[in-house]
Amino acid sequence: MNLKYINEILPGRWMHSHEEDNEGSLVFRPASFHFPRSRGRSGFELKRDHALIEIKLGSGDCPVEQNGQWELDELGCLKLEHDNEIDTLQIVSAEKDRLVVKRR
Amino acid sequence: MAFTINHKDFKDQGDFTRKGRGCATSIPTPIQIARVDDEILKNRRNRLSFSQLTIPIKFHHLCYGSSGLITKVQRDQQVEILNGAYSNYGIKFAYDEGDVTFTNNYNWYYMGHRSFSEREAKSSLSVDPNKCLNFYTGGLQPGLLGWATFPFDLAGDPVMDGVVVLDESLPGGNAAPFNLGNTAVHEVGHWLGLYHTFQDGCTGFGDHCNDTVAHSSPNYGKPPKGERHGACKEDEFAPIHNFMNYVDDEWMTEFTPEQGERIKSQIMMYRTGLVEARENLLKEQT
Repeated sequence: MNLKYINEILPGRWMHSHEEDNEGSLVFRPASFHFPRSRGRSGFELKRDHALIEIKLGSGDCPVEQNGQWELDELGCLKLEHDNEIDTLQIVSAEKDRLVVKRR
Repeated sequence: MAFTINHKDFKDQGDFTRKGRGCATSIPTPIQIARVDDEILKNRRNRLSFSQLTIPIKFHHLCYGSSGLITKVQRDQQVEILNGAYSNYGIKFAYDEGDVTFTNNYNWYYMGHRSFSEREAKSSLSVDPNKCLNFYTGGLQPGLLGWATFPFDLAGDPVMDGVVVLDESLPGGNAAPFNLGNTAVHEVGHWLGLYHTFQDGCTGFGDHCNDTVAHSSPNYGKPPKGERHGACKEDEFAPIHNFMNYVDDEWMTEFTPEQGERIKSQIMMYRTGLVEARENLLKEQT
């Protein structure tokens, strides 16, 4: 896994392409991807300064944004931290247009 | 019909609306959610309820050229779908064809949630939110199927009250697999106080209904029976046919008794104007 390359392509807004999920793997696509309609779609925005905007499914079907921090560790785990909670996503594969992770 | 919220007494819905709750946020915090449930529980013994309630719908169709022109047949079918979903819980919906509006406006047609266009459209079109359901249809921001306000939002921001659904999600629309009318059933569920069955995942208060199995995340598509689908407990199965999950329209078939009870509690707490509207209607008819 080329962490330098992954660190370069990670910054941006990634949305959950849940239609492509498979056997525990979660697929994310850039926000510009042509997603089909959905009742809700979560995601996250990773800033170059490691600020995080987590996009959650809101109670009334509208996205809710939450601020935090992110980091990529040496094992290829993407850690999303907000409100003292850490969501750890093991990166399975990463390309500019497709990010595949497994929740740990 | 008096009730109490946060240790303050309100004579009726009108009194509550006038005094308000001082803010207009539509995202309740866990503390607010707990407080709402606590107040409902405390007030339950002191409140009347209803056995049958007919909620008047005001349809507002946002259009752009030939897009968004919902037909009477679609409205009738949509109301039939709503009645099929809610009639077991004493709630029916009705509308007057003479009240239906069509508004040609590009920005309103493609409005997003909490956008300036949404507020502008609703400020112009909303009809007495205390006594009826304002039901907006439009093309919406790409990717969205709809959204709704909650009963406890009414007093703080009445003009925004109602449901917004994608025009093509109504029966006969082209938004398959979301074109059987159940997007509206789902959004009206929120409007009547229901949370998603996956609210809070496997932590927190969940959806506050004990007979819906808690699950970690939404279920999509047409999940098969016999699998847990993210149910939080080992021996349970996620409610894959519940209207408040995220499955396809075809898969949505049921509410639970406690969801029905929660709806009634929320109406008698925050939407008592609906009950008064029904009584007024009966008086006018007799």
